[in-house]
Order: sequence, then C-alpha cells, then structure tokens
Amino acid sequence: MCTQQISDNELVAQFIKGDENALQKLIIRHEKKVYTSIYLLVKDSDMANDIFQDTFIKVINTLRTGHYNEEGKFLSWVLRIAHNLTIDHFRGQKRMPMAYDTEEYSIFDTLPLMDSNIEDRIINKQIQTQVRQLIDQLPFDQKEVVIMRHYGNMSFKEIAETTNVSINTSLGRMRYAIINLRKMIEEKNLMLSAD
Amino acid sequence: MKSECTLNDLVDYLYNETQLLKTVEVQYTIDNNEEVNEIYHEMVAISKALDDSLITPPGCLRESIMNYARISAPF
Repeated sequence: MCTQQISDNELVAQFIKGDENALQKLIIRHEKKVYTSIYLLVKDSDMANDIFQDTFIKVINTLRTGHYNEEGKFLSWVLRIAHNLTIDHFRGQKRMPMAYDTEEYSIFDTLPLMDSNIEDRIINKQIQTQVRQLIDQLPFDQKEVVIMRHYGNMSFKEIAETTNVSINTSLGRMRYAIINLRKMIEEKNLMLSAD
Repeated sequence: MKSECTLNDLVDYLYNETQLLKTVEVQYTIDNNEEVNEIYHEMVAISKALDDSLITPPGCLRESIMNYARISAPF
C-alpha cells in the first residue's frame, strides 16, 4: 500500500479553512527542526520554549489574517520567524547567546534514544553532547548559517536575504563552519558515529 | 574530463544547490580526486552528526500552541 504525505501547503490551506488538526500535523512535522534551531542559538531551554511558542502563535495569526504567501516554503518561513524572534530577544537583552546547560539538567537529556542496546545508547548520548559542544564553539554567524541551512532547509540565497549578507558570504560562513567543525573533530580526536 | 572544485562547490553540492553542469563536475572530482573525496565524506559525516542531534521539544508546548489556536479561532 502506498501512502502519500500531504504537502505543507495543503495543510496550511486546510488550517486556514478552520481545520485545527492540519495545524497539529504541521507542528509535529517540523517541531524538532524549529526547536533545535532556536535552542542552539539561545542555549536556554526556558527561553527556547518561549520563543518556540511565540513563533507558532505568530504563524497562526499570520495564516489567519491571510498574509502567508510563501508557496511551498513553509518551514523556511517558520524558521525566519523564529530567527527574527530570537534576534529580537537578544537585542532586548543587548547581548549575544553565551548561556550553557546547567550540570543538573541538559535539554539533550530529552532526546529520544532509538537503539535498544545500552552501550549504543550511551555512545549516542556522548555523540550528541559532543556535537552540541562543537556547535557551541562556532562563532555566532557561522552557527546561524548551520542552523538555517541544515535544520531549516533554507537555501543560501534565502539565508543571505534573512541575514542581510550576500550569497557568497552565507556560503562562506557555512564553509568556515564545516572547516572549523572538522578542525575541532581532529583536535579532539572525536568519533561522530556509533557504528 | 578535467575538473576542479572549490570548498564552496563542495558545500553547495552537499546541500544540492549546484547547477546541473557543476553537479557533474563536482561528482567527477569527488570520484577521481582522493583528497577531495576524503574532504567530502568528512562533510557528509558532519552533516549526519548534525541530523542526529535534533531535539524533541516538550510535548506541553504543542498542547499550549493548539490551545491558543482553539481559543483564538474565529467564529
């Protein structure tokens, strides 16, 4: 049996007509990427929770007022809203994100662990922590591009427009981010796979 | 076929943003240049590690958003 996934645009249209289940499907489909994008920038679970909710409240209000015209780029649009709210938050605080998890609780503790083998689970958790630390160490502009391109599926052109830089600059930031990640992996002699 | 590619080209290729001709050139370089091949596969490994680090938000956030959607729905 072949089941075809309903598109984001169809779900948006259904929600605008009043079907709230369509909104729920959109949130379930994209919540991990949106939340991860916010969390990696703010490094604070309470703040990430607030911005995540504010993002979708803005999504709901914008859809209902008929101002959505993104044509097939729903996730990119949501990510732009989340990015702008995050930047607004830091402008309000007049600082860039530097906070870290407390020792008692890490948001990565909530990550679902799929492997049944306990050793694999421990290794996976270590890898997730290592990746978080690597991303943390990137300069903000590189981290921002990694999040938008990798988790937000935004093109380098869209990132350039959102961050007010040229396409070459956004591409270059991604290149430097990957180079820096490679260097850090080499320096720390990290393994990125449990295989 | 003689081809060269830059790190920017590899990044573009990794994210499927290269034009058709450039895609062929980059693929050829990856297949025939050991150093580029190694760099590209390191990029793929980093990309996979980023994928594996997606965070699931607390379920109460979705409930809260859906509650807002319900109470703010137009009659």
